[in-house]
Amino acid sequence: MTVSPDVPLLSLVDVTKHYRPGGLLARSAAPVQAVSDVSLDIAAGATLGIVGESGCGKSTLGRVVVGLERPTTGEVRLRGTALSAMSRPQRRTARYDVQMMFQDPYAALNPRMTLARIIEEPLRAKGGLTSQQRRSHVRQLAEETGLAVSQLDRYPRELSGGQRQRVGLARAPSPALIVADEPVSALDVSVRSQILNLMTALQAEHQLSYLMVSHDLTVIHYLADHIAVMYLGQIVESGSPAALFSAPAHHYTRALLDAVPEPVPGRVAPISSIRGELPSASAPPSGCRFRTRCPAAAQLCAEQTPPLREFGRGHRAACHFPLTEPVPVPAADPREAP
Amino acid sequence: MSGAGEVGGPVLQVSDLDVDIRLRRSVVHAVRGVSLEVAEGETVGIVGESGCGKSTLGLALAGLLPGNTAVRGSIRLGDRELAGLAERDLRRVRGTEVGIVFQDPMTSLNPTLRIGAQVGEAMRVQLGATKAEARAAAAEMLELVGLPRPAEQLDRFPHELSGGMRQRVVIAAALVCRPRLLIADEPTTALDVTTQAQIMDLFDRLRQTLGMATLLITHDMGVVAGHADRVFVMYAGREAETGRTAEIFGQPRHQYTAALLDSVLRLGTLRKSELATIPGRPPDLTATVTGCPFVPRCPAASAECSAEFPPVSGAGSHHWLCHHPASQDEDSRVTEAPR
Repeated sequence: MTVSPDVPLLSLVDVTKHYRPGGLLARSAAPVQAVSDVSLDIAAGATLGIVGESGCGKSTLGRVVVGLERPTTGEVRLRGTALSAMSRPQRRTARYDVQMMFQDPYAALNPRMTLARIIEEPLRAKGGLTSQQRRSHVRQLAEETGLAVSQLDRYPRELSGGQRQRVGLARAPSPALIVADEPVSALDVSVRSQILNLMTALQAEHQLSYLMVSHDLTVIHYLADHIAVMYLGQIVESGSPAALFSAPAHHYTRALLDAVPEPVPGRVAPISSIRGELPSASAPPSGCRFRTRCPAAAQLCAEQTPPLREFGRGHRAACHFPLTEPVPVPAADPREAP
Repeated sequence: MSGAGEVGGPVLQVSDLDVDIRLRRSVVHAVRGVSLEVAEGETVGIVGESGCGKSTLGLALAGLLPGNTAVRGSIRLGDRELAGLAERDLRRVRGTEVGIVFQDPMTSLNPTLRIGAQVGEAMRVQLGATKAEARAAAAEMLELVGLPRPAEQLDRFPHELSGGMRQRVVIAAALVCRPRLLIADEPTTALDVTTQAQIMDLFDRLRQTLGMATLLITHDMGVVAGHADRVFVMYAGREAETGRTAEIFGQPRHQYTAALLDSVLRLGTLRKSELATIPGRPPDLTATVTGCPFVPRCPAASAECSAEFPPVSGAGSHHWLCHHPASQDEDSRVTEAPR
């Protein structure tokens, strides 16, 4: 990857998202703290992978980034401008810049539209093209995403899961960032490889950025340039794939790595390192949120929230008793700022 | 346990099983000529892409196929023939001798019934146990599957539990009558990775404690590698290759098995490198194919392959049905865990 430009394509600054439960008891119930104080940057042409298990807030974070949810506090900035501070036309452009790819593309495609129409729709909404130009653009998008032009008059139900994911990519016309929420977890292995190949090729060709949300470490490792591990709404560790996979600092990252079922005969994922259940996001544990399941938890973990500390260049983790030694806090060196 | 059959003897013997699903205008040949055995205490992994017939095979063995299906061939459980058994007798076998675990625990559990009643149901209905006996057995089973405070859980409802705990309840319900055969169809696909590791560990322990034979149906090669003794690779409703787990992963001979293993993403896969894929998609099972069904997607296919279905080759525990098996020298595939 090249040196990141001064202004990242997308930044999350202290983003928090709380949900108020609905219903009669809404006033008295504690809010669900889906995302708490998350700060992240995505550079143009790079992939940020967010990994964690169900209920960790990774999908909510994706929805905040595409604007499907408004953060409770904090800011989402696109090329340095906060979404909330944008004018109406700016926000319109931003909508095309950031697109979403879902786990189940079927739910995202209008079943009554042909593929040609589905792919054309955003171009039409964006405006500025004649119908002739749009049609040729649709064909070009189809070709680029590996869809046969002959399939363009078909309907979503006639397609396989992999082909639907291709349509999902084709209908994001020249976006800057695609938020991909478990884009391949519903697909067979061979189809999964095809879609991942397509995502890598599109990225190389168009300087695309991805925010990849997944519980699957192998997929995240393959595609992401930078990885953030989420647990119960917070980022507990982040860094390059090399740093995180060879020397994880957080016990939760270690547990996730251990649990990956590798296709090696007789290799059984060790289960000893993590126990119990994910606590409720409306009443997260005090101090470190992972402490109730952590093999290394001590008194301190219940009393103090561990700060994010440096474990190497761009590698940070929030743990009182990390698996590796943190970098001692250096004398201020302005060039080392991430 | 029923006590019949010697240790390690075959619990399940399937021979020449065909399953046809009748649709309005066509017939899907979902399973074709499948033969396989599972011994006591043994886990056999059934793998293949969606639509290869692995789930239909599981349903056929459990006697759960809908009315528009025709089953031919033999399914022997111990010394009893299940094929052609009347629904009433089949239901009894299903509850007591065959346990079934499906992917999504929420669809297997009745949301309006308390957990104790659901886990104990098979004992009451099939074995005529009293309410108190069933409840005691349910509590014991919940403890065995690792549910914390089992006695308290008996009176809770499924929605009060997490996904992993629900799957433990489903497993408890499937095993309460101590079946000889457990059919697990994608039992961990809907679960998180750490939960998956816990559930698979539970299966391994239960197998040792209860000695049942297990059919593990999954698309996840990683899960199969870690937990199956033998692997049965299916393609287009047929057997492609079968062997010990180390044989299948170390020396895959069928071109399909080799391609499938090559396309599995690993932690050791070079980042953003071009991934191996299998071109095309699984065939339409309504059509009758004379040759090998993998021909349109196979890198080694020849005229012979389209003309004739490949015969069984191999020896000992390892068999494959392929005219041009993958090279035996290609054993560099056996790799150690990359970390």
